[in-house]
Amino acid sequence: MTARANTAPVARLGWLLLRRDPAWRSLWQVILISAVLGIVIRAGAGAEPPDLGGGPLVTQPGRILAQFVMTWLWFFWATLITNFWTRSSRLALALPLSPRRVWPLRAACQLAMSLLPVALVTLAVAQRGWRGGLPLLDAGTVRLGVRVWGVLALFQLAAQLPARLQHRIPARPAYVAYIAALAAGSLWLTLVSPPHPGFLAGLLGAVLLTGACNWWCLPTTWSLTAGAPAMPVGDSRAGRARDAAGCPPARSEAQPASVMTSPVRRSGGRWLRWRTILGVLHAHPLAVILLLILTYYGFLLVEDLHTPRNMLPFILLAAALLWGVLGQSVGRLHRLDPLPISRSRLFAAAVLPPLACLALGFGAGELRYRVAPYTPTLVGYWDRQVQVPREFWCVAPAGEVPLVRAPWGEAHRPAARPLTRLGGTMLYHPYEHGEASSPAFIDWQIWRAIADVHGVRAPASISDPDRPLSPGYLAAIARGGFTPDASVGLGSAIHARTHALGACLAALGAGFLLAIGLGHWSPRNSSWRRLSTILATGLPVALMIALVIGGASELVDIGAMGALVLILVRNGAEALALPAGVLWALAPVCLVLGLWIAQERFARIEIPPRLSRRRFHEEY
Amino acid sequence: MRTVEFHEITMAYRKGEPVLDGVGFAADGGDVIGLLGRNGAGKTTLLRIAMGMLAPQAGAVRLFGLDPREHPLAVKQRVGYVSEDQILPEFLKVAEVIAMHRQLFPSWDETLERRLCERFAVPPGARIRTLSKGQARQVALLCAVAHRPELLVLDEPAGGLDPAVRREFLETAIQLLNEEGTTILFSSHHMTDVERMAGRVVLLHDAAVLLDNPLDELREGFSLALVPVAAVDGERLRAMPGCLGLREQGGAWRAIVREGPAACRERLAAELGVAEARCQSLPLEEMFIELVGGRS
Repeated sequence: MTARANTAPVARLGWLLLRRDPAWRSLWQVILISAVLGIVIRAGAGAEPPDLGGGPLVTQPGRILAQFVMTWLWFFWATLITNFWTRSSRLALALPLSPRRVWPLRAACQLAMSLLPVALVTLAVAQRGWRGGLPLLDAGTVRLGVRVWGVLALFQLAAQLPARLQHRIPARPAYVAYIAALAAGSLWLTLVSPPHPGFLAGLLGAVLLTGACNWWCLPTTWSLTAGAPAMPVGDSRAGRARDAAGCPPARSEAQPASVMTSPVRRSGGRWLRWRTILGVLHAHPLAVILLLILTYYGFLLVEDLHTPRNMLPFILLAAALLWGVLGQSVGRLHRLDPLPISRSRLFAAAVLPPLACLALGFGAGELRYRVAPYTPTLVGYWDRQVQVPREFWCVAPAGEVPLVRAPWGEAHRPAARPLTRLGGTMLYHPYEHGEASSPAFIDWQIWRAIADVHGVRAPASISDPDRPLSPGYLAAIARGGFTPDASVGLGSAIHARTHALGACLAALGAGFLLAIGLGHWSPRNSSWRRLSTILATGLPVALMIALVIGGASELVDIGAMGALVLILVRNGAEALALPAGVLWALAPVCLVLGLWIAQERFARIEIPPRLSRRRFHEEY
Repeated sequence: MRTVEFHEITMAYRKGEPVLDGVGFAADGGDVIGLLGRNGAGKTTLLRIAMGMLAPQAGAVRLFGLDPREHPLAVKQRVGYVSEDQILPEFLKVAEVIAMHRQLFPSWDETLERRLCERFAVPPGARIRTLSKGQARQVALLCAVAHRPELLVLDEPAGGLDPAVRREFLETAIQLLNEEGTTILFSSHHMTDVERMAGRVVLLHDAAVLLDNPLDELREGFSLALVPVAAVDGERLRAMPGCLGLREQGGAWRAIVREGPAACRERLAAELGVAEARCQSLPLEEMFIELVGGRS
């Protein structure tokens, strides 16, 4: 009877501690981001997703690997926000609960939190169809998911091994280095580990063993700080005698106050001011991770300039990350707000580092193309199809895709790409060929693409269906992938102009969007302003989610939508008739203008402290 | 030109629930104003409005004749600010924090800085995160006063400090600045601090200014009337001119009246016919409890 009576309060207490756990508090964010991420990856993979269960991940193509690393970074972040270095909250520390009862609950929360994003993304990526209302899952991808979670769980538990007497492991440089080494090791292990059941069993065994080791090492009670070395009982009297006789006297007796102070360094004040501002705004784990990801995105975005790949999703993600960095910065500005530091300086400190990271990544990517032994081309032949930058796609006039006919009469009608399944604007890829097309037709399409993209003249012989094609060339076509030599080293005026104008528009648009978004922190004296802010920020987000879900369910064609945007920018660039160099020179001007617009709004925002958030974080 | 002016300040974080509703008062050079009120009365909000960190939904605030949101730099360079939740950059050393503030304030007084460094004896090489709460607050005060501000805004500056550090902190602020004519606007829950520091008290309650009087006037011009419940109807007593607050305790009405004890006794007898009332002067803390307790 008594035991049953005691169970209910303990269960209630457990529930209370669970609800206050940082892992639990971040649940909805993790679910939302993981679901969107999973859908995006699945939508991006298209009809033929890669086989992830065939071998270690390092054997996958570079793009898949890059995508996996980005996804892993999110998993790692979801693990970090559980504050795994804190074994117990201060609240639980003050309660009559033994560490052996508190820690398992907290550890379970943390492990569940690292499992949740992995499970959601795995479910989305592994889905291969439906049967009886249930998703059909790819076994290899599911096994990879289990492997990833196993490694993350091992990381989380191994990260809790040091400073076992304290309720929170102090973030000393040695511990940070330990975590960094563990994280790098975890990623490496995930990439190289074989999809073998034996390895999986070993991994789960290691997780259990580390967890047991943690549990076994728990003290009878935690302390808030690292305690002094324990003194043997017999020495206590001697110790007290030492205190009386040998300890250094109190400061006031031994050292005059003036000895304690030293003249404050006078030089470097300006640098110190910037260091302080930048430190407050960007020297925290989330900002550092976001900045690193932005650098990586900048590195990837270069591909958009030099290859036919469409990097629009990365551009959108980079924009979202820029928003994230700015939001983080604004949330931290309350520390500096009482000081006479101009808002323009604060704005520069908030906005310029992420832009600099993006530019740094972009520069590194550009350098890679100049130094690397391979040469990128704007026209390629991959996946048994001619690849061109998307601005060279066409809008079907009156919704009818025209027939593409070679001089010798062979013809092919490219597949119609309506923007939505319900109809609307129709796009097509004018250099497409059919499965039954002859090698001569494919060669003709490749040459047509090269001529249009690079503005060069195709050889007259391509009009002859009986022209000789080398056996190597025919083999490459049959293989379904090669880089046309004629495209190597050639630029494209149209492509350059399109991207230069795109950069100008993006810079201006970013400024406008930033200004509208900053309205969230504006004085609360206008209902209309609030409404417009909600609409301006909510509608694009809703649109993005609708696109992602629509893309995954094939209701909308995201590729065609991206192409339509690029076609419109290309038409604008052609209407302006300005050289690419001039447009590229205008891009920084547009950026400054866009930032000026945003800065005007930033100068008037309110920066209240986030009291509730800080209280919560102080507890854990 | 007055140092601080609040005109009909209105501010609500939620629609229909104003934190401040038409709050207005002003301060001149040398005034030391203690801002009182219960938790959530709007003290911090008002001080943040003064600093230009929040914009009021209606009304205006002027510091040295300037709008702090229109001229933030010009205003902040003449103001010192310390608040309970203010966090100095924890990754900096004490000396670096001071050096940064020296950069930011053109009127920085290095002699005063040295004097305060010696007085507080905070190790300059220590990082902010390693300091105790009292030491960190002392560094914040040093940074707030070493540029000899014309206005010092203290938002619960001594919250969480032990009595010795609190007294040291407040005495430093008063000694250094008030004798030079610096206006001090501070909020506190420690009535003893208010009584020791303030020349004037502004009490915020129900989103409005309930009291705005010099401290001496509060001591002499207000009294607590204890009237048996059976002797008078509570509503009549509440409606009596000068009655600021009323509550019942132990079979007696406890009324705060804006008159000295003798005058209060006479008014009760004359207007309500109560002869058995006991009127007495009361300390600030009692007055605060009676006023805000009787009106909530």
